[in-house]
Amino acid sequence: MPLYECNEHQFVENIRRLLESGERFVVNRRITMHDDARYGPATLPDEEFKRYETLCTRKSVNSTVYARVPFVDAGHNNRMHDVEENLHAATSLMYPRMSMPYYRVEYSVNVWGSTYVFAFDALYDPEIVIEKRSGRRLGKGALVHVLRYNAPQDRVLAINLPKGVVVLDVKHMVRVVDHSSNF
Amino acid sequence: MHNHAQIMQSCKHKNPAHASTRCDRFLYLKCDCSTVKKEGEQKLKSISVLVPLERVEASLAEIGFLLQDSATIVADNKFWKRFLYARGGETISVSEEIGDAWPKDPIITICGSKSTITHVVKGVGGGS
Repeated sequence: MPLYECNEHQFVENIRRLLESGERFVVNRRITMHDDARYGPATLPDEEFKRYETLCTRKSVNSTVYARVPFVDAGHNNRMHDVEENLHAATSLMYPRMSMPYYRVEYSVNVWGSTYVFAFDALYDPEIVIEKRSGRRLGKGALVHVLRYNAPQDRVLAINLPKGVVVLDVKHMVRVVDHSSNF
Repeated sequence: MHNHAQIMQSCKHKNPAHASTRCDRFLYLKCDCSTVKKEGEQKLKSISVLVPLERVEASLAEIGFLLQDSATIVADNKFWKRFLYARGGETISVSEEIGDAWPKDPIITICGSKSTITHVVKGVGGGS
């Protein structure tokens, strides 16, 4: 049972063709939240990195990122980062110390035994605020930058399909190997 | 098939007192049906064209599509900005690659009426 990867344009156009052919099909959608340090500040493009510039600095894409100010990462158990702390080293881009959570969104459609998949990751939106916090390293009632992550809205993650198309949400896709052709 | 004038004429002949009511009802039902049909006739189209995002936005603004939300996504190992526009029950999403990538070819996905699709495709210089 082959699995074909599509980009957004290909996936939507494939669904349009199926609709026009009158073929009956179901679109499966799987949305899962991940926080596995896949995306760090060093690898973000400049346009996206600008959203973090209050907290951290770097020379260019894939350069080491340092904390500009001390801040609390509320999205990761209120982890405290000190000023000039190395947040994402250029020598270990795969293992950032500061990372962005994301939603993994997978759309798939099964037609004639083949699966066509379009998948993407949607990054959480950063929100930087100044709050009064107390702690061992901060003291009592100190003002400190706090980084929060807000989940992207569902509507912007969805591929909008005509009302007649059935979209089923699934948790996991189990691959079944079909041995029937061997007998 | 009777046209509008023929129907009005036949109504007048049968019962002049109730002609307008009956015709109105007939016409109302006819209009109602077409409205329902129009709402149900959502089409799907995705296009990828070599035009700047500003031109796409201008084309969408012309027909009353307003920006609802945006998100940063990663697909095909590239970072994209995904914008969602809506007008009534119709939605259009525009995904454009972030950074200095060239050429810029935003992916426009339209879920709406046939006329909306035609307008957007023509507005961004698409073929059909």
